[in-house]
Amino acid sequence: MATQKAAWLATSYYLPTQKLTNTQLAIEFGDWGAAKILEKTGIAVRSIAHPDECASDLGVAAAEKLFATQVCSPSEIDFLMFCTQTPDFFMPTTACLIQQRLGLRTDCGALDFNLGCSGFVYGLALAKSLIESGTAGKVLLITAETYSKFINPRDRSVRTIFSDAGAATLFDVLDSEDELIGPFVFGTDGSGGQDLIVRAGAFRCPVNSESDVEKMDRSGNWRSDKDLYMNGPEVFNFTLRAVPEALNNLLAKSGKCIADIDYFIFHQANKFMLDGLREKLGIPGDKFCIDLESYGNTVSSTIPIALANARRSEILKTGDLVAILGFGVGYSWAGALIRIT
Amino acid sequence: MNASFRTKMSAILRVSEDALTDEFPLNSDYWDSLGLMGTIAAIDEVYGVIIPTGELEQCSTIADLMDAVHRHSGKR
Repeated sequence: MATQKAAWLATSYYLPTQKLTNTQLAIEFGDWGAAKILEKTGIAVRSIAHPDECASDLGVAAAEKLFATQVCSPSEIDFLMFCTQTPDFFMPTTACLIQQRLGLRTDCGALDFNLGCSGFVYGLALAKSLIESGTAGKVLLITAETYSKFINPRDRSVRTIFSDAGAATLFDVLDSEDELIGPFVFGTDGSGGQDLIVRAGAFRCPVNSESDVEKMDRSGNWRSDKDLYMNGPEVFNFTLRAVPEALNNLLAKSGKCIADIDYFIFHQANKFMLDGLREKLGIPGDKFCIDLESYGNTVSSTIPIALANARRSEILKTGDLVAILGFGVGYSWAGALIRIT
Repeated sequence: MNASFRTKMSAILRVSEDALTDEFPLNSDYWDSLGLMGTIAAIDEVYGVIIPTGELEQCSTIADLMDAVHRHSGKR
């Protein structure tokens, strides 16, 4: 019997106009050529927010593009979730500012949540829960980051990878016999918190004269405590441990095997990591999304951007079953299945 | 050292397979964070163990690396 199920309807995204190419990076970091950067990261160009452009601006631009497709109007949104780690202010909640800017109703729920690369999947789980519990009808999930503002220009380890973007995704209720979103798996391991971190700037480590001091690490990268630090090899280690287990648990929970899944969209961290995971899991190349060359690692927006692109280019067709998996800062990870409607 | 692991390490360190003796020093420009990630992936693929980065960073020769691999393989 058909019952009301939460469904993914559409995603639009926005990229800042300022770009950072491999040629520019090769000039700054002399020992790596543009071709080597592309080969290692899979990224050709990154989008960089302007100094006065914040996460809310990217999110609002993405949502305006979504509304321009006529998929729904701002007044129909019952609940807004905004996922970011680079909010406009400590307070107020950025989602409240976005409610006003998008012209959403004042009886619309709005909240921020702080997650990185797993954020879209967590947002998906929350959207499904809100919709299927009857708490909300149309849910708007916006993911947006401006990590570039945390990045030291002399830190190649993160500058070659991260990119800024916003994505706006609409979920709604549909009558369906089958689940259209889920099941889910989640994972958390705070012991990895120090491996991907901005140490200074909040209350555990307020900004002081020490936090501006830049130091060079053993790989020749410079950063201060106010800058983003990533222990790349350790994060890679974590993904090799956590991601295959999470996918296997997701498949077991859903009673599916790899052959039953039409397409796999993992967080687009970098090509090296994605190739390693694909090989380890034995996923055929034509079913495994690599879509970061023109976007970079946009943190919580990589999955919705890839989802939107795959749908638009008809890699994904109605009825297809997609496995998505986000993983990173926290450590935090989550996976889910989505049926394309 | 397993032949397939030797092939992978020679590609990571950009040296011939014959050069990878026990005493081969892990201090070249290729033993950077990407080199470490490549080694982590190679050890996982060939030996089925994941070695913490801190332990890999302590390795100064190929012999140290193989010791770490055997230590972790024995733990399983």
